[in-house]
Amino acid sequence: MSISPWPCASPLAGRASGLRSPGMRIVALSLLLACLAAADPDAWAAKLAPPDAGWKRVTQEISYNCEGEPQTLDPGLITGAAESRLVSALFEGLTTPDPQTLAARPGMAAAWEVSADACTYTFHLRPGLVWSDGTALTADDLVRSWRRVLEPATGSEYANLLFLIRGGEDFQRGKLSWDQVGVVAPDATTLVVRLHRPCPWFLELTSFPTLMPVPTALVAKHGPDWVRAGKLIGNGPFRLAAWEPRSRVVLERNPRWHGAARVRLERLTGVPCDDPETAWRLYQQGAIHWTPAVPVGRTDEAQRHPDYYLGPMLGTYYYRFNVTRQPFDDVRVRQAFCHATDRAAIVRHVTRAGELPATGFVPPMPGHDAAPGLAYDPAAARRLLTEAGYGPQRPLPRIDLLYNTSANHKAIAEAAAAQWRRVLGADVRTRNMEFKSYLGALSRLDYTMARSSWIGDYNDPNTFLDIFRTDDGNNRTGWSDPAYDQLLDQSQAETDPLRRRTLLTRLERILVQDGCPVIPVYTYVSKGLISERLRGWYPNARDLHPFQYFWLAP
Amino acid sequence: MLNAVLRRLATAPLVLLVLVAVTFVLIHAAPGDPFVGERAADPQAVAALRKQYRLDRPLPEQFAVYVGNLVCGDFGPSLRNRGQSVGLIIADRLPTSLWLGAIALVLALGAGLSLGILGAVRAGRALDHGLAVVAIIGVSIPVFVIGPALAWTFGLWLGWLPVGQWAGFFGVSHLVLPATTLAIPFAARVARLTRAGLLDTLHLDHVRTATAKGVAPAAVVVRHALPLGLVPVIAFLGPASAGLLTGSLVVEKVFQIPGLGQEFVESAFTRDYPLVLGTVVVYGAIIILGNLLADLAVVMVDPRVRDGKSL
Amino acid sequence: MSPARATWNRLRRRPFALAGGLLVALIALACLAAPWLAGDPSRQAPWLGALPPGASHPDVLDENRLGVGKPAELAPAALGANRVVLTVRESAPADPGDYRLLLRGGVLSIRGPGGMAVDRLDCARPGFTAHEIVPGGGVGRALPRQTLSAGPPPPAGWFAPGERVLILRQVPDVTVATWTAELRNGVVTALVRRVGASETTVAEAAFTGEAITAIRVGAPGQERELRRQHLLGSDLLGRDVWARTLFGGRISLAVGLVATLVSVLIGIAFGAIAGYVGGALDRVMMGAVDVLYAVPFMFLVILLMSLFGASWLLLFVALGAVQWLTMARIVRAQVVSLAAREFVLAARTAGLGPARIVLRHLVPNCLGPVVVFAALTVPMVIMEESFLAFIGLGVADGDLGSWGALVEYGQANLSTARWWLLAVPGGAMVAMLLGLTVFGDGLRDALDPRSDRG
Repeated sequence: MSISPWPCASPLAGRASGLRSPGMRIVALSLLLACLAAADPDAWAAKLAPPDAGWKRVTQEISYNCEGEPQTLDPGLITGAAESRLVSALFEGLTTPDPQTLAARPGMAAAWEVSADACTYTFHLRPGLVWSDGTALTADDLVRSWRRVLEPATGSEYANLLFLIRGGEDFQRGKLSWDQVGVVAPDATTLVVRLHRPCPWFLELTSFPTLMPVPTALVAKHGPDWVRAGKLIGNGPFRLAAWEPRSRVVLERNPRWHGAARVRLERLTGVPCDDPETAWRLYQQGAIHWTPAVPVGRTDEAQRHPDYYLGPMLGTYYYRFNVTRQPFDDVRVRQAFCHATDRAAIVRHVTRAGELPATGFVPPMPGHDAAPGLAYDPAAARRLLTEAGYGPQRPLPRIDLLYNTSANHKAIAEAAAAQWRRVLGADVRTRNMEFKSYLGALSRLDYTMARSSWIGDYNDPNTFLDIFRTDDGNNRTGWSDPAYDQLLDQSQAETDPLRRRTLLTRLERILVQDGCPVIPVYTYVSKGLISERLRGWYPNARDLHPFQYFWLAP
Repeated sequence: MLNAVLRRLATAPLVLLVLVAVTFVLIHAAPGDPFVGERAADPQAVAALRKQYRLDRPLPEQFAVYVGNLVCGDFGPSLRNRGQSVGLIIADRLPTSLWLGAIALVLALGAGLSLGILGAVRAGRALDHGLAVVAIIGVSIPVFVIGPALAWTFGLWLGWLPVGQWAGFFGVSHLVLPATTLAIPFAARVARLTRAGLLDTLHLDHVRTATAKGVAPAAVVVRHALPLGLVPVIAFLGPASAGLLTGSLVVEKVFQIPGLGQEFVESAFTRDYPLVLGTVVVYGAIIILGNLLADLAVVMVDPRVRDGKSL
Repeated sequence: MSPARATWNRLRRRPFALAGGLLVALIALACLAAPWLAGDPSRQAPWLGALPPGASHPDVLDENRLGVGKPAELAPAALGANRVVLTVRESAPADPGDYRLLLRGGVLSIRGPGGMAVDRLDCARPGFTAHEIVPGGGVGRALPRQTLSAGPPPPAGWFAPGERVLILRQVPDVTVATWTAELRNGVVTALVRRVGASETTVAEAAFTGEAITAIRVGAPGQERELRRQHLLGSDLLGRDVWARTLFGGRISLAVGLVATLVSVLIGIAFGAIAGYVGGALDRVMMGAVDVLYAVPFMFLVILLMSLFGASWLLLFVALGAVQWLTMARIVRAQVVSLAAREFVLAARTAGLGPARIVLRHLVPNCLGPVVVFAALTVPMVIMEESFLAFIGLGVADGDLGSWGALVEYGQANLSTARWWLLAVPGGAMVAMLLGLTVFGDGLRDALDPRSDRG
């Protein structure tokens, strides 16, 4: 799993200025939030506090499985979900996600205002912010950090997250100088950000690791080694006490963090277990309080474990068609394959971890009306195939179903291929490829049908729908529908939430009903084991669990 | 023979260079990019990363730089684990693999030698035949069948020993199954070689003389026959080092041991070029060294070779 | 006595070697005859999961369709019959997922499919009964018909003492119906549904495999039940392990033979040229072999396969390339010793070209040791291929994998103690390797005239 490059819509540059719709609702809401926040930015967090002082009797030390050795702890460079957990404890962005609802809560910024065209954000930083070594942290640090992400020499793979900012992309391409980019710090505690176009999830984005501040002077001094324990300084609720490669990462409470008084956890140890089986045993021994992974072979056992948790995640497992190749150049054949896929059987008999069968592409999400998609219907599947001109006289050509080597993908592919063989009489052969070669084959459109998955980056259907824009780097199906692209532009420019909601449902309907470049199979679930004593951990769709709310019950 | 060993010692760096060159060509000819993930990354950023790691330079230049650094003991940076050097990763993982291999080797030699001697001394009797059958079964069972079979029997069914955990160098109960798995095929081979070698030497003149002189049978075996009889076993230790390393790939997978083998396979999959090269260099060096040491040991043990006659 | 005959005579006196050869021949024959000895190795029955050896179940497809005037879609064994009787559990569509009831600190929480929190769960719905799901996925005891609410207090009579988790499924109430289809040449001529005493004629019907509890064929009174037997169990998708092992053996054996052939061809060419030409070229070529000996080839093979993706051609070339070095040495030594013999000199004086001499006179005369070494190479190659398959670098033929791939599958699913997934393919492979090794050893000893002494 990885947090992702922003599926950025570059053709939108400059369009926002011509926008007529003022988006009053968003503005009003934001202003209200800003006012509330100004009173006491952290008032909301009061309800997360423990009911009594019993926690003080326990040593507040927690260990968890941090799922493998972190590749780095540099917020500008990380790409994985596991690293993101640690980085979000060591650093803090302008906002921070609510651990329950994921809504943007005040972080570095105590309050913010949004302009009438919803394109200009003014953030007011908390006064007296400091790095964990005590030096002052100003809005300029943030400007420098964002500039660093956008500078090509940094090699930040997710630099395109910042392309939403006016001039961000052109600066990265070397076409603009930095002072023409829409980020300015008029004084030490104010940051003004100008966007190309309204973006309903921009606030949420400011809590993303890529947009967190880094001590740029320290980075310049130490180079890549600045993330080592003893050197690294951050601005988050925790500081790095030790990082012993492949053995443990230890965080301890940062007393200089602005909310330090509310943090109950003294020490947090990440144990890197690549293998869920090892983590399972460590958990059983009581060596760790939380493991966000369960071995595939132990699903039955885990389900009967009282500490097992399971929750839907913003992720879709799906099969993609190469629509430039026979027989999938015919939409009816694609629809026939969709109708011939018995997702419920796959979920119940093959994956067996409580995944949700999916016919739509956007996972269940509050505020999104899902398009129904094409459910399992063998008769409809056969009818569509006949309409497309295939039958006993003209059988389907042999179809290779490509997947990247993994026991799980293999089992699902074999079960799905058997369903298509049975319902459609299709000669489907499964074929595995090692991951990097598989990625190459997808990008070159050198496949007929392939497995894929998409994990959403933010709580908005856009993260799922935007990737099927014509020629998007993640489209990789050859599918292109001008109407879809146009509707996508329209939805991204729309500031009225209700109208936008309708547009998003229409988009999804085109994707999973009319155009059908994909077969959604199931919605991912997050699963793991968590100790009953670990409190302040809340289930949510992005599997984000900020450590500053954790505490250990007696 | 000693000359041959010295000559091999001189060519060892050459062999390593060939190995590095072949690996270098292979990894750069392979499809896939170290910086491309499931989601399309920003091409500018990927280009910048390639530049940062000098992957945009002509291949001969990259090769020259790599070899130059290697000679100075610098394995380069890992592409996957940013900010970590390959040297650090290898230094972290190699001891685990070596420790496991060393324990397996000791087990294999202990079991193999005693069973082999037993077979030779009781040659032609029932015990010998029984041991021969056991040995040939041991030779034929691949490590990746022994491993899961032992794990199932002792770990899951009987529940005597832990499976799939690493408790450090002295976590004895955690070491039993992996080390035994790795040792069995080699113990079987050592037993066969010992028996054959000993049977050959028992026919030699000086051994017969010793027997005729009335030296006790045990002493004959230990003092007179064994040193020569062990020559094939010692010679086998060279290739065995290679076998132990390949075997460790399987054992590390089955028992989830954080050794270098897992890192090697993983690095090839993720196209972490410097890590692939680094692990290949280390493996190559170990195998070459193993062969050389075995040859040297043969020279020292076997007077026939020492005196310049061929084997 | 010709050398071949002498060898055979010596081999005949080695019962181990003969037994090994016999074992190899038997396994190889069984693998070759796999299509006749076993069913379809790809046929799935995912609802059954992994069945232990000897288990059987009704011989039905995932989906069985019967329509009057249309060809029946049933398992092949039923198509030849004139009359097919199905016992079918008919029910309303089941809920898509199970519910998980969790008792923590005296508080009940209810999680629905996908782990979503549920406040109220109605277990008194008409037409459904809530059942406990036992480990392994089977349906257990029926639970009280009652509506549950999350929160305290825990419901009485639901949890056993000490039990804190209960998996629950709303199982639809079932009507057992008997469907009788008359068939002529595989085409359905009549279809009748019978429940108790009532009988209805139906034009068309489809049944999932999961719903059919029995299938019988034959005239009334002489009915015969059709069951599919899994002699050695089935895997998690319900595929027959015996069939998969036999078909996997075909792949392993094919790889063993072809890669050995590759190594023999390279080895002979290299060794013969070096040995026959001699001089500087010989020194250079054998020096190269010495250098290559020190190269950890298996690691290069792993690299090749993981970098370029597993393919048959690559596999043969890579595994063949690992093995040819020793072969080249053996052939060279033979050629060097033969080249000085009279018959080669005679051929040379007769004016034969070097290519002809090598091919006609030298190569055939060193075939003995080559055959022995090849016999010992086959098991090594099989082991190496399986090793690659085991670490995830194998080549598959559709959904069929070699023995190594099957062992890997068994290993990966081992933690739940389905031993037959590991033991069956592992056992087959060990038997084959054992047979080949014993036979190869025997052959080597038999070829060596000195071996007569003991």
